[in-house]
Amino acid sequence: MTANNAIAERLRATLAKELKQDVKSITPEHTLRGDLGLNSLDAIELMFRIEEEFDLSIPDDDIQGLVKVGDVIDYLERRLTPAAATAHAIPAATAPRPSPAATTTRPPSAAKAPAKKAKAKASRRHA
Amino acid sequence: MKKRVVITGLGVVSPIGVGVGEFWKAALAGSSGISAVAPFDTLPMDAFRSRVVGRVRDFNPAAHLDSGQADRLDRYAQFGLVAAKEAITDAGLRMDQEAPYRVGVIVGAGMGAMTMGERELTRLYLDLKPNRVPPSFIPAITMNSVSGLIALAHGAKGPNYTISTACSSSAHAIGQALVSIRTAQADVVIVVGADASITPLVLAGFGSLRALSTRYNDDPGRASRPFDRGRDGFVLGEGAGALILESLAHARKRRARIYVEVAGYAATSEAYNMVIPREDGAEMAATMSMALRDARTTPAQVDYVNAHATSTIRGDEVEIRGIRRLLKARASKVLISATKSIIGHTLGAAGSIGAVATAMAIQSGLVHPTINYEDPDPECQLPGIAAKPQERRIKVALVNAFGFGSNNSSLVLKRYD
Repeated sequence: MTANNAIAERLRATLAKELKQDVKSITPEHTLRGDLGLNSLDAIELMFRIEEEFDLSIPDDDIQGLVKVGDVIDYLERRLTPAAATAHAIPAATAPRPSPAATTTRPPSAAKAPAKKAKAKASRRHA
Repeated sequence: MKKRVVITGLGVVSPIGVGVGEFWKAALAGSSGISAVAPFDTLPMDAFRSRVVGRVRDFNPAAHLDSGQADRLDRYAQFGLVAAKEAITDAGLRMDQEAPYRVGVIVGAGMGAMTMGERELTRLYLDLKPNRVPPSFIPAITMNSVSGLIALAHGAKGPNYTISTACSSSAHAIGQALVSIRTAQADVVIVVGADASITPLVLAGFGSLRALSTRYNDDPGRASRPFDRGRDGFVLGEGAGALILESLAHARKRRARIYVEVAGYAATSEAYNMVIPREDGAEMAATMSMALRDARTTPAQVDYVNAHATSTIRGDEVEIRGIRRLLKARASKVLISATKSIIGHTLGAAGSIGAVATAMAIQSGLVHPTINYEDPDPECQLPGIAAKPQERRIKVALVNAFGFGSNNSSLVLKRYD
């Protein structure tokens, strides 16, 4: 975890709580599901913890792009850039995708990023 | 040979109408019952991920129940009582002519009296007055309140209990009624499925589980779209369904009109994950297969499936995978529809409302559309799914209901003639 040490370290601590395993060996290349063994529900719990730890809201559609640990670090960096971070200014509910009347603003970097990586299969879930 | 069991009365309270007539007309027309959620007092509504719901509109409890009683009941109980009354009237069931201990009541409810629970808890913390929690609170929030209330209202003294298995609760209630009549514990069972939990905690909780649709908050009618590529989660709904089940002999004796036969039922657990079905659909296929066997019917005879299909990405495709796995070549011949496309997911009421829709389909020869099915997802595409009503003389139908807690259930309804 080199990209942004502060974020990476906080994420590592969050992962440690969620995974209940030694997190020292985790690298950005590890996938959340395959390598770290999270099932869909675990992944949702992890997102819940990350939202709390970093004080932001992660829209459903963004989650699909978060496949590897590195994706999460990159995503958090984008979301926590000074413009966005000043404030916890990100309202709690950011409307995902092109919802025309989205009343909330979201840092442009974050808005663009997820769709690219979206892997349809990555977050197929729920009964 | 197993005792034959039939359905002789129906009732429904739904986001597209109170009463089976209104419900069925709107279902065939494909009029969406989904709307923007009404504000929860002072809560910041923008902070809820999903802001669309299948709310029952224009429901005036005082029109159906005596007002003193209505005030002390949770909304889901009001729905349950109203649906039960309609079904009893529809069946022409006269309790003064029945042996009371032979008429049971089995209710399916997933969430119960959440509206009242949340309201009273909030009030307690705000007012700090424990002695102002009303005496009617405990009798209202016990999970079996509705089965008790229906017994009291109609004098039904047979088996009386509530089954709570999340989203499959009322399918299990119908199945258990079938078993009770087959084993001669009762001649008649009043079955009701009811839930009304469009509440702050429930909407927020399902939102945190990432189970709800969030993309269509500004276009509610398009939010519930089972099998469509643009689906992104279910829409929280509310309502009640009621069915009168009785032995064929009993129905004949009192010359009741018969809608359909309840021919088979299966209940299983995937023993897999609390909220996620096994990906290959094998568990759902096994459940449907057991229900068909119980009905002495083969997969090749199935004409229609009223799918559980909640509009979640995974749930819908797993169910279709299960249907393909079980029905094989027949899978491309059966009609399939998702009632939740029109009314959202009514949770514990879903199985009973699905069964009402299926009984009506068998009776009328018309299957209601799966609305918003515009861009078929190849992962769950079958020729029998359509955004328009379809005509078919149905002999055998499956009703599916799957629930959190890793549980599955299937019912087989058959044309009676």
